[in-house]
Amino acid sequence: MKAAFYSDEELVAAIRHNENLNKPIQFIYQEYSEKLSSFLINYGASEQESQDVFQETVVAFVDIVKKDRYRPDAKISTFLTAVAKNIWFNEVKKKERTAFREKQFEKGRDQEEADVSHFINEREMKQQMRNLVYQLDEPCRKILLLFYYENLSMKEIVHHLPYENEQVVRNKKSKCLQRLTGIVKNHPAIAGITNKKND
Amino acid sequence: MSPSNEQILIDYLDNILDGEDRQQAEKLIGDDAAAAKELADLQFSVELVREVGVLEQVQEVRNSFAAGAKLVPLQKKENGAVVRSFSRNVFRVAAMVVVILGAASIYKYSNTTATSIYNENYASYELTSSRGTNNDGDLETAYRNKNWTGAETAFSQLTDKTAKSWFLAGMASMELKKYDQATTYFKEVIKINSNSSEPVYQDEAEYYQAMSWLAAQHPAEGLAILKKIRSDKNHLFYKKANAINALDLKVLDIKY
Repeated sequence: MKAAFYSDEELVAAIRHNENLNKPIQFIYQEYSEKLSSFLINYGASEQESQDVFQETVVAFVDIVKKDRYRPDAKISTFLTAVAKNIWFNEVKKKERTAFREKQFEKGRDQEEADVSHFINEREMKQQMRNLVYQLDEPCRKILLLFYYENLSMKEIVHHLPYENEQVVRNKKSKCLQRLTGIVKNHPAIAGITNKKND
Repeated sequence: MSPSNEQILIDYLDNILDGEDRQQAEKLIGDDAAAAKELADLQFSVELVREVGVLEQVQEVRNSFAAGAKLVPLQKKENGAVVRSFSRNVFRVAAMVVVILGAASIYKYSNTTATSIYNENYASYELTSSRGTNNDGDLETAYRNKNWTGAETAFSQLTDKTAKSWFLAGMASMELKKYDQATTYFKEVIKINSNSSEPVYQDEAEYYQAMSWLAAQHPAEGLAILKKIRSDKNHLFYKKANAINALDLKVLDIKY
């Protein structure tokens, strides 16, 4: 693979405009994964954990940019570092690691890093919610992803999945979305959020 | 919420309504608090799906990165502009290409298996009401309800087994991961059809038989059927079979 090079502005624009998203994501991995993984390992993460946290950091960043919530107050590298640190810190807290490790981590939380705590709190909950999508069977998940994420038309989906025509796909898609909504509504933690959102 | 109103909300969310239909949907949302709440819930679900899409795309890049497909970094000037040095000679580039292609080939070769192709391409068969008029009773009901063991039982109790019932039983076996059994059942569909002037579920049985062969670790048999389907434009599964990565099939062909 050859890495396209992006300046900070170009990277944000590429993600925002959904231009072949693989390329900007590849660039983020190329530019930052090693640096940030070493950084997290210094704060007690295992190699696997550092990669998981980095993955979650990239998902968070792409999500924030796509929703137009990224403000270029700091360099992307600074922003990613702050997100990764916070995600790891929360992981440490969750796993109730030793007080020593947390103390070490707290020392590393400098005053100048980008304030991303509000993104992180939201992310924690979203991580849980994303798992609800995996409660759907695979055909349902596929059809919803093809329609709502890949933005394929019903006609195009007929070519990807073994359904007979567009109407069958449309019905199936509606049922799958209703099923997911039912799962979401029945989740006690989520019910509170959606209600709050609607207040 | 009535099913028709639910569908109106989904169509509104999908932005496919216009004119009067759109106005009707907006009125429903404006007048009915339950409808507004339902729309918000549906939007919330769509947002989750999109997040899962991002997650899966990032995972895909992560996996290719972990597999050693490192990207070639470009040099940057202080001001951030990209510098492509003229001193990079053709041999360096060629060597790099050879190394990358070599690594990619090794990766592809070692990771492509009958199971990987099956996993990437298998999709459950959805039985639609528009398909045929015969109803195989309990078997069909169990199948529609995705009650695979129930479908198996209903099939075993059938006295008159049709091509359709053999096919559904075969698909239920696929879902239960009884791939050898599925293969046998699909063979029966093809056998019945060979003596019939009106073959039914023939293309379906062929395609899913190929899938069952792959899943049962008989790649040569699966590949032979897929090759036939890929060359037959009139086959119902022509597009689906051609959507399978040709390089994967080639690698499998070489390996087995």
